[in-house]
Amino acid sequence: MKRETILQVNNLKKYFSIGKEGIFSRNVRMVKAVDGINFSIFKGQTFGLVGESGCGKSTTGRCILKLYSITEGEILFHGKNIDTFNANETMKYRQDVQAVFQDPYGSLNPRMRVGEFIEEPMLVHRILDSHGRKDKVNELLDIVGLNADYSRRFPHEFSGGQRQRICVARALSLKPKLIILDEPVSALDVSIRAQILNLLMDLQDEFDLSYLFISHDLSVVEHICDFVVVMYLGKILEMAPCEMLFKNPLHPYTQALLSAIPVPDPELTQEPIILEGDTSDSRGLEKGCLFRDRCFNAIDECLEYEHELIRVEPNHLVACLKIAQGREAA
Amino acid sequence: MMSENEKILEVKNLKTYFLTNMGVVKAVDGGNFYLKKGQTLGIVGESGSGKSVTSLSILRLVPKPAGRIVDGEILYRGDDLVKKSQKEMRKYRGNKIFMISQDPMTSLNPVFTIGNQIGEAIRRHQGLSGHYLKEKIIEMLKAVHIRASETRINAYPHQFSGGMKQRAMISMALACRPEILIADEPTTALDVTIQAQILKLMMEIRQKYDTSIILITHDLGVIAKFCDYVLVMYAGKIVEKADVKTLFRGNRHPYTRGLIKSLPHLGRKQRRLESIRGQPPDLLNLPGGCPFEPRCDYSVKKCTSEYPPTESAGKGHLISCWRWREI
Repeated sequence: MKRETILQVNNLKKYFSIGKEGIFSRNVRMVKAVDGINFSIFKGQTFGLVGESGCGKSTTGRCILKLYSITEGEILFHGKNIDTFNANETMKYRQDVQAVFQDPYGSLNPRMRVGEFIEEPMLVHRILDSHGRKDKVNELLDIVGLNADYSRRFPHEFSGGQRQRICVARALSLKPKLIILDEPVSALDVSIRAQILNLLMDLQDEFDLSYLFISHDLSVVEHICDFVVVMYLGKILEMAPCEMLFKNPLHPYTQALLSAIPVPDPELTQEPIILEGDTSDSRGLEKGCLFRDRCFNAIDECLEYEHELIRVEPNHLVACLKIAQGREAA
Repeated sequence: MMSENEKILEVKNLKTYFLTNMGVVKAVDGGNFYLKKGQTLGIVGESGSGKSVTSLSILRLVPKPAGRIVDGEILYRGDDLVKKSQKEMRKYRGNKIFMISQDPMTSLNPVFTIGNQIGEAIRRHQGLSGHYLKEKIIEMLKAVHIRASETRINAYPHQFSGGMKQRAMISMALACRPEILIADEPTTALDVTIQAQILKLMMEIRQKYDTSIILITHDLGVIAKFCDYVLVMYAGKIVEKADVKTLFRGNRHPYTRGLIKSLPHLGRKQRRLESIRGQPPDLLNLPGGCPFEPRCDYSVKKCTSEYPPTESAGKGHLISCWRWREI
């Protein structure tokens, strides 16, 4: 059975200008936040986007949300390019794609009652009448596990976990098809994190949602995602179904990333792979593999390596010269 | 052998309260623990559990005027730090007890160079100056693996990445050679690969200088990797104390158990995570009795009225729960 593709990203690029090279120079310096990435999200899938700060994972999410205009490439939603949407289609698209962000303190308006906050999207999109909306708000609060009486309260009366539930309720108000979850549990305490992850998984089953799950926390990603993409400085280094990636990480960066997670078990004494330096060392490299300076497997040819994802299994792609060479030899 | 069991820091019945307009917040309510020479003590808990206030109390840096230590003793080699004046405390801060905070950007002054700030610590505590001072600074930066340290000493904090700033803080700690290093969420703001670097660096320091470390974190993974002995805090109370293996394998407090169960395990994919129900406690409005009672699956009537005594469940394993024997 072929699964329906809900969102397709083709060669997406997003550059930010950071000023000119000199006062009289015409050349504008660019940060390549996202630099040519391709992936598709299927219906009902939880698609994970992982990487360290500055790897472009949030920028990708924002491009999909149409919060940024993209530099190059295209994003197809149900096969249609979102940049060519007319006003009506854009309105519909904004209903279908919703977001939940990291900071539940920043994303709620402190002057708005929770009920108004959840109702607002329906008001904008002219869905239901006043009564219907009120009922819907109560229903949504119930769905995310909050008391319906809470709709009269203000955000400051809630804890971080409850606020995140409110954000989820708002995201659900327009019956979306895809929700961009940008680090939804990173700001929460451990005991609350598990509650929210369970809630997200229940909602997915109930409403047949697709998620784009952006996170730096690999143990959470392993738990919730079906498919994972590892990004580094705007490029995809490895992508594979979740289980495959965690069982058999091929790229040295993925290996290091996985080994660096401290496992909550004092008897496991696996030594992490320690990488030298940080991502800022590799920014602005024009040619070759971006990861080469920190890589424990790097060889001279990595300087010349043209970034390319190679298919090692039907669903497992990796961009590393040594793996490419190994396959040619075999 | 004697020196290994030496208690260099002992906290007895520490109570740090914040007197706010809305009432009294008991941020730390009766903390008892000690730190041995060369030991790494972990304090784990969620936001608002009082783990950071504990460390601030030890350094007598509780924010004034709201916060104050209302009771208890903090004995550093037998001297009670609670009774010291702020002027006397300066001899301890940095020199004997050093603190690394979560956000290195706020602990470094943005208008002075890194070299200047590390130099200040050395100048104050070791009295070096001029050429010797500069060499010492470079040596310190090299010790924490900062590349090109000769030029880096003239850099300002904003020119350093998060990981490098935290390294600079550690090099400052190294320069002072403190007996106790308090690290308050030292890696929370950092990426995983950088976290691994910093933790490795701290392990090196511990081995080289036999420093005692108090590591405050909410990450049980870091605790498991790094600590010998662990305190679990909830709403200002230490609910369980145990060595690290007992904590993960033989924990008896429902909160500790819930915390450990709610973690997703790598390589062990389960459909649902077990979570602790309910919300974190409101410190202004704590229930009488055990603060964890509203969220606890084991609660009985007694739990609502009376806080359980601290009982021993084995060597060095202390629990505050009415029903720990049944758990």
